[in-house]
Amino acid sequence: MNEKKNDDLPELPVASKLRPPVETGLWRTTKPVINGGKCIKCGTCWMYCPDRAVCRQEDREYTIEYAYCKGCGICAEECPVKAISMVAEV
Amino acid sequence: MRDDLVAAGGPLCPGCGAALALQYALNTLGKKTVLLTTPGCACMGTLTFDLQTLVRVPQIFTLFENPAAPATGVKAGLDRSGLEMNVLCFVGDGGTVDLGLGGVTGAAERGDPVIYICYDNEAYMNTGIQRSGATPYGAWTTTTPVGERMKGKGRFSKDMPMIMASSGAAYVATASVAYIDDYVEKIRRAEEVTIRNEGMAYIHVQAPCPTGWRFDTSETIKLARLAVKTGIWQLYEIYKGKRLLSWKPKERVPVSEYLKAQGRFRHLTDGQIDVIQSHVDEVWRRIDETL
Amino acid sequence: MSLRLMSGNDAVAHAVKACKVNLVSAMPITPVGPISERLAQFIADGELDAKFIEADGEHSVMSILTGACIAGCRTFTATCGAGLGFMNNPIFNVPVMRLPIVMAVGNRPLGLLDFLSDYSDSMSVRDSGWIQLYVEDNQEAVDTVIQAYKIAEDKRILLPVMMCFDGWYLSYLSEPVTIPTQEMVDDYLSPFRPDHLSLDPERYLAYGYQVNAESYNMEFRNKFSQAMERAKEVIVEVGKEYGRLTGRPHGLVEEFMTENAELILVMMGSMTGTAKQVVKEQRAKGIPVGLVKVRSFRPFPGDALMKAVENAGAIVVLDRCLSFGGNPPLFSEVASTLYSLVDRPMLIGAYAGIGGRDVTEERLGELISQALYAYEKNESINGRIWVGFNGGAKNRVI
Repeated sequence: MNEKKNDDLPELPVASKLRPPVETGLWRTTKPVINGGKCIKCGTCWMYCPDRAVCRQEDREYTIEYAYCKGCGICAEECPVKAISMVAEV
Repeated sequence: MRDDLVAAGGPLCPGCGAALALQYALNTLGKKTVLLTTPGCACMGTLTFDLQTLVRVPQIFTLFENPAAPATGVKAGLDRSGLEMNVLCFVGDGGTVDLGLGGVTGAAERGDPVIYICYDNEAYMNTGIQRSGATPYGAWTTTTPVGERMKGKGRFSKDMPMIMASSGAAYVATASVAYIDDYVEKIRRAEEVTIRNEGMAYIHVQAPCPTGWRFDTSETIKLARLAVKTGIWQLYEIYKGKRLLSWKPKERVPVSEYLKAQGRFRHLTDGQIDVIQSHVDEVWRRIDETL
Repeated sequence: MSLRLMSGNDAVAHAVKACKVNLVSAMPITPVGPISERLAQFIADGELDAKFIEADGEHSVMSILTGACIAGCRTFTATCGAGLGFMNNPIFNVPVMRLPIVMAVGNRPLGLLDFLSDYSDSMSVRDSGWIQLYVEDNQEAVDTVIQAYKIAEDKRILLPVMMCFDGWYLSYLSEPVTIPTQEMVDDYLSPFRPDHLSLDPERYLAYGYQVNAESYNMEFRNKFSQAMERAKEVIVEVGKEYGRLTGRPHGLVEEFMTENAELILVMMGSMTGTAKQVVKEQRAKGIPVGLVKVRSFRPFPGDALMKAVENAGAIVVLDRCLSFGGNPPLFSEVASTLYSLVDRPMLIGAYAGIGGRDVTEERLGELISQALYAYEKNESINGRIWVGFNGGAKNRVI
């Protein structure tokens, strides 16, 4: 818990900085794994990820940022060639 | 990680439709946007409780029941100082259809050039899945529960896009998170309308909620698509007095496919499903007539 | 500066125009509707360079002003009674964002029982963090509106101000007033430049922010309380400077014939004008009565009040509203303030002007007699004095 002295507080509650990212990847129980061989680089997974944990690299290669992926499974469900599988995590 | 206007590691549910709607709204409009949020799901994705923000745009967290009015004030102030910025209200269905109805339609009637996106998860989700004026007929919610005497919500929802169109909004559109390109295009048109000072732009985007609608988190997009394909969710724009359909299904999928895929409709009797199907048929009959 | 005959509403509108507000929004509400009508006309005629936003309800009015103030506008609205009730939620939201909005409240009751002047409306939001100044006549209304912006926008304060003036008795009645010239007001009021409010996209600040119950919320409330406390000093400072400019200084309280007063009447608002007349006449007859007008109700000027009444033997506090089931506002504040005195004066509570019932000279005379009788017999009054109860000039003790 943040203990701030009264003097350090601004005159009104105003958020002035971005929160450092929280590792929401810890939430998941299954994780998406992209099969590079099957992937047709359509970008559907990237488009539909609600947490933007699918990243597009320069060569249109798609990777998962596992630190933030919550394991919802939308990418696997929407992939038109079923190149993503949801793998159980312990 | 995408370096965009929404910070990484937000607290919204896995599979949240509103999260998708928010990220495209902000990233399409860009950083010169003042974002107005209200208590609800989306604000959990834009603010924390310890003086830190989750979005890289100036933001005002306003009272639940009236987000459109401060937007009006902000726009007037920005105009006065010569600052060219978008003013975006990103509000849930509860705050728009129930609580904020007077304020939102008032802003439409006044022609305040603000962009108002209502993300419709069809209930007050953040407080625990209570019904709103946008909750569909038959849906289970904690305040329209299912038991011997009650079988979910007893009446259909308010037709908010039409209310906005009748209140003088310059541009009205419906959208779905399953059709992102269409949604983004509509956001761009909304922005143009407000830049040209034609009046208020209103977008009503359906944001399926796995937590409240009771379906697997992976099916958000699938259900949003089904909603459109059954005709339950119509995609259209209303501009300069004309309605333009964004898409007309050649043959509508029976509503039961959409309803049976969600826990909140599990209790529906065949009779109730028929009522819903007739309602959808009637809506489309009227659309066909006016076109 | 010439003396002109005008209603309270007109006078306030002229004062607001002189303050060069940037944005006005209001709803029609008797008896202060004409203020916004006048301002709308000034704007339409180009006499005031501002935006008039036609709102859809008082709730929207205060919300619009909130947004506009964050975006850097000097704003104004006028309302009362049920209108003030409708904007209850947004009203509470303004001080926590330190927005220097100024509002004229033409006091009118809350609750559909009656509609003439009564303080139940502004008192219902006395805990909100708005500074509340109650005025005696239309001239003071003009002067207070101008001072209100200076107080609200002071960097030490940054709190909204309500200028409370009795509905009908001040808002609709015409009195001779002097509106300071534009040059005088320009000299007195600098343009609105809030440092703490910014919508700069590079800074992406978030306003209207909710904080943790364990880490910041008591601390922020403490900050706001401190600002309210500093407001006592600023109200006096601003009032003195205004006095130097116009010859009409104002402060937290006003003492009238309190030297050697055995009985002192404590009150607010337009009834003070009548009461001063009565006190003057009674003094001429040798009756040792005086009067203290409380101008600033929030922040409550405990020290100034104490100083004014500590030598009195008895005090009558006249409240212009009830607090059902408890003590009315002004009485409560006075009683709490005087509690620390070792030698406390006799304290008598009275209800006067409730729902707009006329506070006449006869009724006030009767009140003074009743109070003095109790004081001389050293028998405290059992209950309160309801001034003008059941009509007539007899005040009932209930």
